[in-house]
Amino acid sequence: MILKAEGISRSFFRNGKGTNVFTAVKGTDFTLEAGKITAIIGRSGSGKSTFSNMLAGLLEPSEGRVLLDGEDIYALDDGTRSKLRNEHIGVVPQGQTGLQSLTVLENVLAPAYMYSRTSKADRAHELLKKVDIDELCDVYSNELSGGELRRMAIARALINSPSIIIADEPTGDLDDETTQLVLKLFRGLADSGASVLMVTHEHDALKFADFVYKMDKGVLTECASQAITQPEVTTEL
Amino acid sequence: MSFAFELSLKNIKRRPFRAAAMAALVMFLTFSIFAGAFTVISLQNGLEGYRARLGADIVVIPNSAKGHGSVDDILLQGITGAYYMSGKDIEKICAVEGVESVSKQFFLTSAKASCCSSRVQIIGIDPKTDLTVMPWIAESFSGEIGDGDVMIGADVSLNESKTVKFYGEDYRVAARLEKTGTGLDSAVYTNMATIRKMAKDASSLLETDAFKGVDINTAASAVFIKVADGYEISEVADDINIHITKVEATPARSMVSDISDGLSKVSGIIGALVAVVWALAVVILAVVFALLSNERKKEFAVLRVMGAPRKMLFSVMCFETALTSLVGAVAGLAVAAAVVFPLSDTLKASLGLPFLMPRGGTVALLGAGAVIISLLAGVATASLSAGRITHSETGLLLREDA
Repeated sequence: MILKAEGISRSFFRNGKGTNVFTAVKGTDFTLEAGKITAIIGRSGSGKSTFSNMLAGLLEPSEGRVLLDGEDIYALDDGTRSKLRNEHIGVVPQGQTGLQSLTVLENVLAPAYMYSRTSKADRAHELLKKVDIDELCDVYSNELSGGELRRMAIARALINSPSIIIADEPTGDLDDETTQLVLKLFRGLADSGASVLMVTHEHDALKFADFVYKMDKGVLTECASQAITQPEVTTEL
Repeated sequence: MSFAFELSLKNIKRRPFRAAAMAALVMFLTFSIFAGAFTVISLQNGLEGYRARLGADIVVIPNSAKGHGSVDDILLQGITGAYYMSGKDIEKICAVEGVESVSKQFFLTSAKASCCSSRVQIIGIDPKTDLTVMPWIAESFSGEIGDGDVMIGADVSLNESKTVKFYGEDYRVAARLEKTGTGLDSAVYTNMATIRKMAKDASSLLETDAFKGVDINTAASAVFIKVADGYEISEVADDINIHITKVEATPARSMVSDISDGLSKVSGIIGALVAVVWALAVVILAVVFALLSNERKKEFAVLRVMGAPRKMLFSVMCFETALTSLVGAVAGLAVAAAVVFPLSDTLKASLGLPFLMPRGGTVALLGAGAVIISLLAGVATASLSAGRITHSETGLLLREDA
C-alpha cells in the first residue's frame, strides 16, 4: 500500500499574546514507500509527531490530503477510517500507552478483537517473544516499566499484520540491546514489504533507514542518510 | 460479547473504587427519587381517600366533645369519645332551614377487659343515610349490614372464628375494610341498632357515667348534614350554632380545604426537596463523569490509535455507566425500601396528615420508574462527557499527553 501526503499542513490555536495561530507542519508532500524504512528526525516541537499523526489518520490536516492507495482517508467517515487504520496501519504512539484494565496479552490482542472474534493469541505470543516480553503476558500493563510498555505497544501495533507501520519514538525508552532488537524487527517487516515510518531522535535508528527526512519548524526536507549517520568531525587544537 | 462490552466489564473489575463511587452516586439518586415520590404519593392517596369519604356539608358534634378531639380528628383519625347529643337536639338540627338530610353516628369505645376482644373505637352508622363511612365500606362490602354484623378497619386484628367480642357478646365480622392510612383503620363499624345494643350492654356491665342522662335509643355522637340546594353551607352552620347551644356545627369543606392546603404544602416541600436533591445529584454525576473522562483521555486516544471508531468508545463509556448505574439504582431502591416502609408509620404520625401507602403494583411501578430514571440520568450525563471526549481529535489528545 502506498501512503501519500499532498500539501498537508496543520495549524493550532494557542492562548497567549500576539498571534495565536501556530503552524506545526507547513504544506508538505511526502510518499511512504513500500518495503522501505523512512525515518524522520528533528528537534522537539519541530512538527514530527503532528506530521506522523496526520499520516496515521489521527489528526486532520488544516490543508492538503492524505491518500492511501489513492483514496483520501480524511474524506472517509469515522467508522470506515478507523477500520482502515485497524486493518492496515499499525501505530506506535509517543509515550506510555498501555490500557491499564488489560493484561499485556489482552493489550496486544485488543486491536485484533475490535472487529473480529478470530483468535490471534498465537501471533500475539510470537510478537511478544520477538520484543522479548512474552513472560509478562499475564501482567497488567500498569505494572510494566517504560521500556516494557514501549515493546508492548510495538507488538500491539503489529498484531493485525499491517502493511503500514507508523512509529513515534519507538525506541525512546529502550536500552541499546532492545533498541537493536526492535530496529531489526522493523527492518524485517520492511524487507517483507511493509512501509515503515519512524519518528526518532536515535542516531542508531538511522542506520536501519532507507530514507531519512528532517523536520525543522514544520518544514520537511530529505537528507542523505549517510551524512546523518556519520559522526561529527571535531578538530583538536 | 462485543469488544466494547468486554472492555467495559474489565474496566469495572480493574477499577472497583471508581465503579463503586459512580454506583454510590446513582444509589443516592434512586433513593431520593423513590423515597420522595413514595411519600408524596402516599400523602396524595390519603387526601383522595379522605375527600371520597367526606360527603357531608356540615358536621355537628356536642359541646361535650371538646377535649376529646376536633371534628377533623373524628373524620380523619377516627378519634372518638363517649359524648352524645340528645334526640331532641337532633330534631332541632333537622328542623333548621336549609338542612336537606342528616345522618347520625354513635361512638363507643370498647373496654380493656375480658368482656371485649380489644380496646377499639366502635362507630355506629345509619347505612341508608350515611355520607362519610358508607362510600368507603362499599369498596369492600356490597351486602347489607345486618344486626349483629360488624365491619373492621384494616388494622384491627381478627381471630380465626372471624368474630369480635364486645361487652360479653360475640359479633360476626362481615368484612375487613380497605386501608385508608388514617386512624379509621383501627376502628370497628356497625349499624345503629347493633351499637345501641352494645352501649346498653356496656351500661349494664360497667360502672360508667358515660351514659348518665343519655337516652341511648335516640342519642347520637355526631350528625352529618347535607345542605339543600340554594343554601349557603356556612349560613346553615351559623344558624345551627346560634339556635342550638349544646352543639357545634362546622362546615366540612373548610376542613377539607385546610387539610388539602396543609397537604399541598407538605407535598410541595417534599417535592421541592426531592427535586433539589435530584438536580444536585445529577450535577455531581455530570461533574464526576466529566472529571473521569478527562482522566481517561489517554485511554480513549490509545483505543482510537488501535482503530476504535468514536461509536465504540461511546459504547464502552455507556456500557460501563449503565452497568454501574444499574447496580447503584437497584441498591438505592433496596435501601429506600428498607428505610421508607418500616418508617411509614412514624412518618404518618409525625406529619399528622392522611398517609396511605400506594398498592403493591404502584410501588413496583414507582421502583421500576426510579431505577429507569436513575439509569437514564447516569447514562445521559456519561454520554455528554463521552461525546465531548470522543469528538476530540486523537492527535490532539496524544499531543496533550506527550
